[in-house]
Amino acid sequence: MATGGHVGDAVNHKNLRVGIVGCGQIAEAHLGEIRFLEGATVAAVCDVEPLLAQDMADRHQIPAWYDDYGRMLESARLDVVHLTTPPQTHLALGREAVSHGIHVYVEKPFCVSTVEAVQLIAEAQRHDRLVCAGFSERGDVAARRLSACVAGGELGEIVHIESYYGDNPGGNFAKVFRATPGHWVNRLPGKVIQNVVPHAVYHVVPLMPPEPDHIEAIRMDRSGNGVYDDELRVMWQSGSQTAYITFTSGVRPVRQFMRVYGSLAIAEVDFTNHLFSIIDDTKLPGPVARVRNAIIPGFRLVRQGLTGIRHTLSGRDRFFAGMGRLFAEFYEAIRAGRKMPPVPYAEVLRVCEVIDRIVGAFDASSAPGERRSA
Amino acid sequence: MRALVTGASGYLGRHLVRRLLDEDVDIIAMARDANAQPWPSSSRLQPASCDLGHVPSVRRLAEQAGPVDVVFHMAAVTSGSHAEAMRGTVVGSQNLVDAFAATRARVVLASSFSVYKFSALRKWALLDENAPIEDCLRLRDSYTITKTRQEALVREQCARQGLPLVVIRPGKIYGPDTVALPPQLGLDLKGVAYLWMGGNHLLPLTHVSNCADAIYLAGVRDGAVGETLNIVDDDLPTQKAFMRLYRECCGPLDRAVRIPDWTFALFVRMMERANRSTKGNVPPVLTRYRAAALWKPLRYSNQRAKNALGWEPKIGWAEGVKAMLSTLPGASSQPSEQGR
Repeated sequence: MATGGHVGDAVNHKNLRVGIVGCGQIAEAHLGEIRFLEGATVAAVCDVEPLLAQDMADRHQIPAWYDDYGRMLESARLDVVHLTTPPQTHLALGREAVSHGIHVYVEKPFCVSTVEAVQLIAEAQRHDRLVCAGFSERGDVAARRLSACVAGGELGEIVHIESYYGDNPGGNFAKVFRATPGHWVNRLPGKVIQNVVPHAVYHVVPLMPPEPDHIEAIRMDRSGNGVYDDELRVMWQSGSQTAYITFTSGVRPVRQFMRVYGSLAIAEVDFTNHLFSIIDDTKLPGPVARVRNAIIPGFRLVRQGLTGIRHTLSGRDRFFAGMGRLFAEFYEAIRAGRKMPPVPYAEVLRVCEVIDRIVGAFDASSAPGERRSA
Repeated sequence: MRALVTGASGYLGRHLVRRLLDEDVDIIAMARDANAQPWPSSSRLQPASCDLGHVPSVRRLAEQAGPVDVVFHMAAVTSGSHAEAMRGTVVGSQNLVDAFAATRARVVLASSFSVYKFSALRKWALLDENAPIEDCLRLRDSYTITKTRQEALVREQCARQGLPLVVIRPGKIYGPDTVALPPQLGLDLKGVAYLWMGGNHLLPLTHVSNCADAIYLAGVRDGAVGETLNIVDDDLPTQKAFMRLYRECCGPLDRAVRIPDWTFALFVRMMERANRSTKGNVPPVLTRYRAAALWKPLRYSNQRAKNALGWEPKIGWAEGVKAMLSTLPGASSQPSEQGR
């Protein structure tokens, strides 16, 4: 996907002024990662609740806070805004920012629907601004290794993909929306599934061929919480390639991983522990092959473990390091005046379409546990 | 008397509700999900569900409650993300005072010892109501930040709306079915060790019943309005005395390691350094600033509360701690001689 090319007014100054809109939990992660980046400073934060904006500005020593988004866009001289607000607001807030000549980073879910996503991207292009989807795990070290492996042909032709997302219903955020029926997560058409499944989908999309998709999905309220469906299985076919997507709230330990099955090798990405491994073939005879297949992956894992320790102790790898890398690439695209953000628009729209189809497969009349084609 | 108790399902809130029922007070007992609570059976108690962070919900509460004489504001969000704690505790307090301003009710706010700027106090200084308030919140934990902002906001709102206010700052509240070891005793490295700091530091304890007594009196005594009152019990125990009683009741504490102050100071510096060098991979749970807030040796006074409220703590620490420890699983019913 093209990421080159230049629009008229590249931002030549070195330091980008960043504004954060929505002073909730994920905004803390954004602030934490931006402070490690050279050439970017958080100049302002904004929230409709002034007490939250003021508190965040005070704790992070940010020079300005606002409870009026329009006023922040007018007066804070921003180059970029990060939307860490509920997805129901992304289209309106993003539009307003690009119309002020400000680039936008949008937390996932990108928008509530593909229709909204198309509108937001079109609006950004009309104003020669970039809008970057917050597909943050794309920046993880292990995800980058997978991309390099696929690009280098080590896996051969991709046959099948499994993308697994384990959710923790006892986590801080989940506790809040489970206890609050009116919470924005519960007001999404696909509720919690629409909020977190984009993580599982956006890893798969770049690896699927650009052919018409056939998608089937099963959802369940396995825990019987009555608030949302906490289990989802998706079967997805594009041309001669298939993918499974699993979302679960019931499995322990809570993990997130992906397996890519190729004609030459199988790759596994452990997003929870930032590990990448590859299962390849050998021409050695049977018993020797079994010994080799036990020893070589073991060595690789030990080496990765040692690297992981080094990177954890040095701070090079962090929980949200992938998000930080995506920010850095987005800011670089802005400085260079590129036409395309690091997550190409075609991929953003395909992720939205797949989510729409998964969610749309289950209208209000369908019974949980029912299998539906999308 | 008719009173609203926010956070009525919380530990302190439950004891306050029982105390108010003893005094024949009509109570609106507010909780996030009031219908799911095991309230005491009384025609004087009216449960009310409310999310204080949500303005329409608070307005509904005000309509349901009608005129009240006292708002006992015990509610605070103490778990979850910082943003949720800010919404529930600080924004919630703003919504509450706004919604009840018209009733002209007296507001009794349960604040906390944690609002003090411990780093500004010398070792063994007297911590009373004149001690400075924390002004460098970014160096403190989420609980301190939200409680400090809550207190400042409620003061400002009540002053602006002309509402009578009493601020209660309890020390460490303990009692039956709470965590047995107060955080001022040491640091629990879960599953690894229990680091027991110092030995002669006083523990600023207040039994939940004593504290509920003080809060009730703050709602009814004329002389209390406008006061800020620290609530700790009399004759506070030292860490050694507490541990001795713990051993008598429960036997030796698993994996307890007693470490002197200077060793602990070194450990805290190492943790701070690890937090910086790992860019946050080692979380900033232990900093010199936070350590001072929990483990600096201080003296405590409850004289002002006694004068303003006519309050006397009825339950002594040894009696209260023994009763608390007896509710722990595996606690022996008869104190052993070990450690005496």
